[in-house]
Amino acid sequence: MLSGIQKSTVERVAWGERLGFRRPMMSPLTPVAALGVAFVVLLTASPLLNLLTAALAGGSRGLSSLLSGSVFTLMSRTLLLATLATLWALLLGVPPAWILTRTDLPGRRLFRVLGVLPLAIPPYIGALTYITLLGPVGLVNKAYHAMGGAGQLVNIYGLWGGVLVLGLFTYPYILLLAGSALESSNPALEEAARAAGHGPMGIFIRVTLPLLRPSLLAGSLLVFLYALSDFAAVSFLRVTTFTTEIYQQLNTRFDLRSASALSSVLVLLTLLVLVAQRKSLGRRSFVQRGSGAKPPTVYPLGRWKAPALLCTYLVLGSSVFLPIALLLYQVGSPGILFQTLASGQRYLWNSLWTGAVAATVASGLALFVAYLIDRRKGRVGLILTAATQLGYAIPGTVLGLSLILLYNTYVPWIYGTAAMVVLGYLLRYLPQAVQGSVAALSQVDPNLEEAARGLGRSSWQALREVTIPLIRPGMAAGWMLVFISSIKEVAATLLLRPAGFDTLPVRIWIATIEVDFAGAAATSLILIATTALPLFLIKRLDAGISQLD
Amino acid sequence: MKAAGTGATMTEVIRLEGVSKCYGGGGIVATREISLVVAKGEIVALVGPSGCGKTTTLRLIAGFEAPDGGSIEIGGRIVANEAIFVPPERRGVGMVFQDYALFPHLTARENVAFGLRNWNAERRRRRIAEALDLVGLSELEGRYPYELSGGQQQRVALARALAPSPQVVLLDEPFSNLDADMRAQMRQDVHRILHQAGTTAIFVTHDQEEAFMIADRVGVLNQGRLEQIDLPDVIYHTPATRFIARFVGSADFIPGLVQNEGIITELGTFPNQQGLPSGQAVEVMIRPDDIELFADLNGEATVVTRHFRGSDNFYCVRLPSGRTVHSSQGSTKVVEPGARIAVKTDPTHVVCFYEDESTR
Repeated sequence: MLSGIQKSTVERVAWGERLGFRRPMMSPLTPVAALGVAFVVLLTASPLLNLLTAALAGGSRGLSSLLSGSVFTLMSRTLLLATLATLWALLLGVPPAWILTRTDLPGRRLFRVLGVLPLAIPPYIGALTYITLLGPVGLVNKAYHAMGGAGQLVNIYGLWGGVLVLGLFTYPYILLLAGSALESSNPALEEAARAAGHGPMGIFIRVTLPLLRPSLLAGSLLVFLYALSDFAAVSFLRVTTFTTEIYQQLNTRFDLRSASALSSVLVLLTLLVLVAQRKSLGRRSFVQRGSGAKPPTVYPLGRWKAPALLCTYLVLGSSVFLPIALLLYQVGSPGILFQTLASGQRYLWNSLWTGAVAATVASGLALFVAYLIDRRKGRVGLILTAATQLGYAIPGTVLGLSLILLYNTYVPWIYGTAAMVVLGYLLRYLPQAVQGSVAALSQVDPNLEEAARGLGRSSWQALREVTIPLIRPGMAAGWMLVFISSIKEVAATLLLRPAGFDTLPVRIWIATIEVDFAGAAATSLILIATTALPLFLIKRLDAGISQLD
Repeated sequence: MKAAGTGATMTEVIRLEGVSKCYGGGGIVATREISLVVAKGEIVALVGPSGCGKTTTLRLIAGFEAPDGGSIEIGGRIVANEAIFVPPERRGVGMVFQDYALFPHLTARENVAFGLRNWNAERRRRRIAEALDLVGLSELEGRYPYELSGGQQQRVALARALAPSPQVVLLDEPFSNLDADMRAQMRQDVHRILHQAGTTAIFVTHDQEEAFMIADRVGVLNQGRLEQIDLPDVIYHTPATRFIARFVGSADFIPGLVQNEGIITELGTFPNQQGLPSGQAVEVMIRPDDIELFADLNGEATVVTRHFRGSDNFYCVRLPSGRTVHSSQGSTKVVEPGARIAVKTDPTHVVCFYEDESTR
């Protein structure tokens, strides 16, 4: 999901290049490339097509099960959850974004780095920590009872709990997008408003916010999409949504037809959101400022310093420090942590190798796809873009189901092996790798390859000696993103894993279902530590990329 | 690269014959039947407004585009026609890009060395030193492109293009990314470097002044057509078309009638240098520096506006017929708008266009 943020650059460049006709030579696809395109499209599109056919094959029975009232209740609850979570994430993300980019808040650079950290905590771990705090037997209720209260003061289970947690662990998308838009907005616009007699507040409402609208919309859609597709966090918080219902139908009632009918509805819903997202991102370009422009105006906080600090601390505290502290509290002693690590080496290893294999295959495919997309506008590029974006439209649960349906029928010898898990990660996170590569590639001036050719290199040599060294950091970042996302994945893994093949998130899931909160917390800490390292490396790589630019 | 060719083609480095190129399935015509010959050691500028096809012409020569018609020869060898297409890496052409296209992951030295891969180590080392010395950047060879100023980046790009001793160097708007003061300096430097290296060069610009300053010959493109190619002063004084007349400098056109004694116009009678038939109605091109103004209370013309431009005063003058023409006068010669004046015109070159078509 993180790479949705890189998307904007991709589209901006694509637009710019569509205007001029200075493109490198376009030769017809070689047979190898054509075969590759066919393979990628088949790989990515077949599970979904198979699912939709299966749902339609259900005929009138499938349709009647769809039209029953319960589906509408389910849909309205899922949409309500997603909408409220999005609003909550906006509320959490926008004020810090402005404070951290446009004021003289002390330590704002550090805060901006920390602001990304909630992305290292998957929402289902966030849900666990808030159950520890606000659950029926959580810390708050215990304290309430200790003070002589009766009954429950708070209960996190239910819709509002889902909203609380989803918003808290997805707001960084909005913080990041709004932050970068605020940072890159042209200060002359605000100065013009100031010259026209507006104060800081008027400027914010009349100039800054309207300019921010596209990035806020893009960020909101990311959060919305996440909320629609989330499975584990809402399961833990006992909210019934499309994904949990699909899982129910599959796992307890073994009703494939209902599950695929529900999945089809959910996919159509996410596709709608995805189309809206693409549209909103495509128009983002007007926030751009020319090169060499001044950095944006920084407002002195004055007596607002304390409230601004408090706001930043509160948001970061409740999404980073408090969850980590609660996990540590839940684990109890370091002994349990080591014990979990020692006994769970196998799970860590399973997570690492499936993630690494998926990331490597995805990066390889992504380079091929990105090169065709970036250097070859037109139909092939469009088809490949659409095919490799499909992963975004398919929630993990649905992807798991559609892969089961497809491979169980046609390729049964793969079904029931760990390869299914890898395949799931690959399809789900291929868009991240592709976008990483496309973004990196679009930064490489096509003139560079032409310059190399003018100096005696063939097109293949130019690719190897000039282009690949230049996009290596971007590709590495894409690899890391796929790796991180894969080792956090739980929804598809639960459906696709062979019996007994547990990954870290699966262990967290099982421990939580078995109400072993200490074990779940210990595994969660291990998982967070495993993802934090690559996340840190991506930041370093980003710095490397901007230096080359 | 060995200098190829025999006898007649000895001094001819580039030959384009009827080269055409379309984009978008023929919808957009970039170049129409361009024919052009460039001699060894010659510097040719192609000028024209944006979208006139000048950059496409360059890319066709470099081999980044394939022509739809016509043929291209480099050093006596056909590199592109209906049957042949030699890829850019085998054309022996150096290219300097508008944005320089320096490899950001390589130092200045490594950029220059990029085209010398197949040279032996000793020759390569010497050639790199030569090329860097030629552009005056020997001290900065270890720097990365982002550590160099715009002018320095351009020198590296030039050194990189010159290092493999290509038969021709192509420069695409080489000065457009530089600041005004830097640009003037680089124009002189590039001119010196190209001449010193004895390189054949074709460069593209939209700035006619730049073309006049640097090039031995200037070609003017309009809507994909090479309308005229000649010495700079010939282009300026005897433009082949109205478009060129306007593009390479200011020009007014006043109606005239060819008679036995010359071409009779509102501004006087001019010699019929082109030998046009008597009775022919024409339009005569008048450059602002062809018109003299004299303060004269009984003059029939009036000053409409005066713009002080530093080195001169640029006047707009209304003639008795109501037609306006422009005149460039010395920076100290001031006549205020509204004043009556006498106008004297003495063009050294009388260029006439027929009224109904754009050519002479």
